[in-house]
Amino acid sequence: MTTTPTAVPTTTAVAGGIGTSPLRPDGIPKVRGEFAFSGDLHEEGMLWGATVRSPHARARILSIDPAPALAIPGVHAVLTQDDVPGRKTCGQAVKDQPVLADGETRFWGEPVAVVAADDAETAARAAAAVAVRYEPLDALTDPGEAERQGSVFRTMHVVNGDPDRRGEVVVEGYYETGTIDQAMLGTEAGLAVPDGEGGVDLYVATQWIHEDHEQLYASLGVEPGAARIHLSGIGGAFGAREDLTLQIHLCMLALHTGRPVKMVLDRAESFAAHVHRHPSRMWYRHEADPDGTLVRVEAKLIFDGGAYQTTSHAVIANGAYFAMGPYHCESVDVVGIATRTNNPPNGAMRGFGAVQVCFAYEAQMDKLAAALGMDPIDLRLRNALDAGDRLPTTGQVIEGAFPVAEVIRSLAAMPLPDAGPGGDPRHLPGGAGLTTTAADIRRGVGFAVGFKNIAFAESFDDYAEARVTLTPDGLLVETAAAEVGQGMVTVLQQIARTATGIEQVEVAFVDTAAIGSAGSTSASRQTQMTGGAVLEAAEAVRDEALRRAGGGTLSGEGVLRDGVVVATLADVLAEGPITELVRFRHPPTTAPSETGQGDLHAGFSVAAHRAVVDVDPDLGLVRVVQVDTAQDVGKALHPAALVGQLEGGILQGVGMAVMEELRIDDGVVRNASFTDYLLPTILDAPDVEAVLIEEPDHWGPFGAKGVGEPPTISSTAAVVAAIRDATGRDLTRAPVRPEDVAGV
Amino acid sequence: MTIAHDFAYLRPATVPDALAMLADHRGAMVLAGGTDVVPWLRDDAITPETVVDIKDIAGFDAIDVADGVLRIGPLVTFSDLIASPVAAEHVPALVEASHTVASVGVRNRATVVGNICSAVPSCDAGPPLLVYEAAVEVAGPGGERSIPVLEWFLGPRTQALAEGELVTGITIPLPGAHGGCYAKLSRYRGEDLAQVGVAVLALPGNDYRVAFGAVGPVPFRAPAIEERLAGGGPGDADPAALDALVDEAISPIDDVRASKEYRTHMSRVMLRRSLAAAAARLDGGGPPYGEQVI
Repeated sequence: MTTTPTAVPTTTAVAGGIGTSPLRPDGIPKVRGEFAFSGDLHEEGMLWGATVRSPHARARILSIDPAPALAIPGVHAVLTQDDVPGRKTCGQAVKDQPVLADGETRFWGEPVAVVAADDAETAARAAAAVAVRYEPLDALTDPGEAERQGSVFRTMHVVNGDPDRRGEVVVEGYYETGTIDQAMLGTEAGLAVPDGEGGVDLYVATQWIHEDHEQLYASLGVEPGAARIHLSGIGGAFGAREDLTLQIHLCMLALHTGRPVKMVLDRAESFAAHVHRHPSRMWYRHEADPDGTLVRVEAKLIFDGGAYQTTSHAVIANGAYFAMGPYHCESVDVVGIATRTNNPPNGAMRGFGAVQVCFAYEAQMDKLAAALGMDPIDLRLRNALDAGDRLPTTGQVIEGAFPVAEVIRSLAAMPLPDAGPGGDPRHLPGGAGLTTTAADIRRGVGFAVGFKNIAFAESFDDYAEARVTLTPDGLLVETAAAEVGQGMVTVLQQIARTATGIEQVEVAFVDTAAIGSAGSTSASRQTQMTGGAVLEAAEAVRDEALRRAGGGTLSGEGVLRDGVVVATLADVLAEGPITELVRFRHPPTTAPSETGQGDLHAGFSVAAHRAVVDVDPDLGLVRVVQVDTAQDVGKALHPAALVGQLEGGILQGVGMAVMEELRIDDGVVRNASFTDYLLPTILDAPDVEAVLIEEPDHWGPFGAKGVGEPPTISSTAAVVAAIRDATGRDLTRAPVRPEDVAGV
Repeated sequence: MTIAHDFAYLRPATVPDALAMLADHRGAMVLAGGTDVVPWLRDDAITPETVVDIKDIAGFDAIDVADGVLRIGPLVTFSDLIASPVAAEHVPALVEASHTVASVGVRNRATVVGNICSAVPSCDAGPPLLVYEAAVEVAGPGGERSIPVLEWFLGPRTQALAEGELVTGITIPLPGAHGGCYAKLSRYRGEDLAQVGVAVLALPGNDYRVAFGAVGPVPFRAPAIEERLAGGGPGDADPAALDALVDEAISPIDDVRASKEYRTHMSRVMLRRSLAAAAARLDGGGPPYGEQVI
């Protein structure tokens, strides 16, 4: 681990501060099964909700007859589009998605009606009994055809440098990635409780309660203050909770019936309810001088957005801006198109557009190295960007740390695992069904580098509010940020501790009425954004406490001078409360020019992965043995949780490389279950060794960078590169299927 | 999904009681481990008016050997079979298959009899029971009968049990010295359904029995392959001819789990590897009988 000096804490060392790995407060309750997730919500007298979903990719709704459902004893409501009290549509940037189907359904699984009943069984029966007559219509499900028809959400054209620049060595390639699901273990769940005065409190697992709130009150047709959203326990997110699913439905049912209403989606329904990672089709042309200098990259990207926009405009923008990796290039021409089809909507997932292109540009870099007769790592080092360089796509000068070459060198210097599997069948590819023996195995090694921006971009007013209050017992941190499992709660405690010297820190997740927005728990941003707000607020609280006590240092016991308590926290508070509310903003970004130019991003992070695989080429079976990584993290605030992020992200990358894909035929999902949407299990998990590169960021607290997304960006590319190395096959699609490896 | 329809739940203590209940309630579903029945109820794949739970019937959980026959009761789970020294001694390929069924938690509940009553094409017990030439013992309104496993599987999720009948056990004539093998293709190391299953028995005198699962509407024996192999070593048959016989024997489907071409390819490769393993085991060598670790 490399360590570079970072911002110096101004207080004495405190237990559980930054750079240590204290236990997370919700860790033991989660392990013991005592933590209340959103699926555990309960209110006396509550009803259960269920959703009627379209079985067609596209259909006209001829009629909806609720009578058969309402005739079932215990059924209290059947609501349709006609019953949406306010705005009939929702969506993040563009409100193009009907809250309930508006006469035509545009994707398989689109909500058509919602019901409420005494119990979950009756609700399910009622949903099945709602009589909907559909007239199936021709569905547009091919993204290429959608592009030809001009059915697109956004077209990017990022152009930079001399368009006539040509290299002597040219490689071209066509790549595809499949539709990937976030597969968070906690399915969508929530509870809406009417307040008896026309308002409602919604308890729900989501990534951004304030954005949900904006969409919610508008569709309910109530004043903002009449709808309040409270975070409930979240079992993972990965982007799946950025768009609304059941929020408005629950509140409509609660307000309509005057009763609390709970809804929990089962796994099959969850696959239909939330957005997925965009499938992609990508054409690339790389040109280099004979010495390996990359001089021109042309690319055309088609990401299918599905039926509604959600965040497709931003995902395709990322795809285009990061289309050629963290490398110099004199001349760039990237077209990025997000298509509109009748496939299920695609939107946010960890990596947000950077994952797909990394799979393609890193395959191109390997191909280019082979064409040049160069070592692929040398080629990457030769072209690596650094802080102060211009990003060849957007022209932005990179501020803060961007240690691409150090990441690559550190990873390349790590030892490789011992060669070949031994006799233990558990270490062989495939299941343990006697399909493979050690003699059949070939080993391969693959390397990939990826990068992405941190926080929101393109002139978005991105901020996070946090409040820090001194109490006689310590500090109270209040925030609306979503702890989705990543460990932000611990990092906020650590930041507050190190800023103040007070070990006792409670983090309270409060509702939309109690505090301003923390922004989304996405884009790897909360450690830097809400962490930044907590740092500023905690420092202000500390300074005020010390001013009142006439100077010294702060601790949980009070203000110290020469090691002696001269004022307890209660003494300090005798003058009045000390509380600081901070709204933190990152450095401003600009909107893109027509050619995608500008200072569009607030900062970047780079990571690299090296995968080692064992392959049975005759059977097409792969075992991912080890994936090592080096990542630019700024400052490791909680090293154990950080490594956990790297391991989890790598496992998601392994899944996309060799097994995960939502299989969609003519717009209909064919594998909406964990029987057939395969996720790597602990037995499929590779060993992981990590190097953390600590060069301080220019605005993150204590120099820290967000670390959530880079682990998923290049891990898939590295695994597939390793399979290419083992088999010699030109694998251009992720996930790689056994058929592709075996060549059948 | 939760189970969204009502049904009567009956729990007989004896076989005559169970038969009486089945006679009184046409279309009743018999419940043992419930690892198939409960998910089917949740998915509305079945909607019986009555469920007859046989877990209280005494003696149904026994594995025993008498008169040259191994008998497996209807409540014997895959975990029971894995833990049984008698099963390991006499039917090691069935135990090997048991190790590949789902996960420990499922194997602790799922029964061998239930597996073949569900009769999905990929059932792991099917191919080994076929090569061991087992029979299904049945009691019903017309008395008792014994159905050879060769005649048991009629179609996907369909078997030879008649209305009102109850399986009372599986019998396997002790095969004597043999080498067995069950090879299963899974997509990953997590619990998975077989994409291809191959069971092979190598008997003294170069006598082979071969059965496939998951590559046809039912698990089935492959007599043409057995005839071709008879009298020679596992490596004596011309590989291309063997592949052609495999292609004739199987009728794999194309679905989200695997393509038809890949299933075909794997059936060929896995047959070769299973034959080699079974023959080597007959001679006291070969790989140890496989253990699944989840």
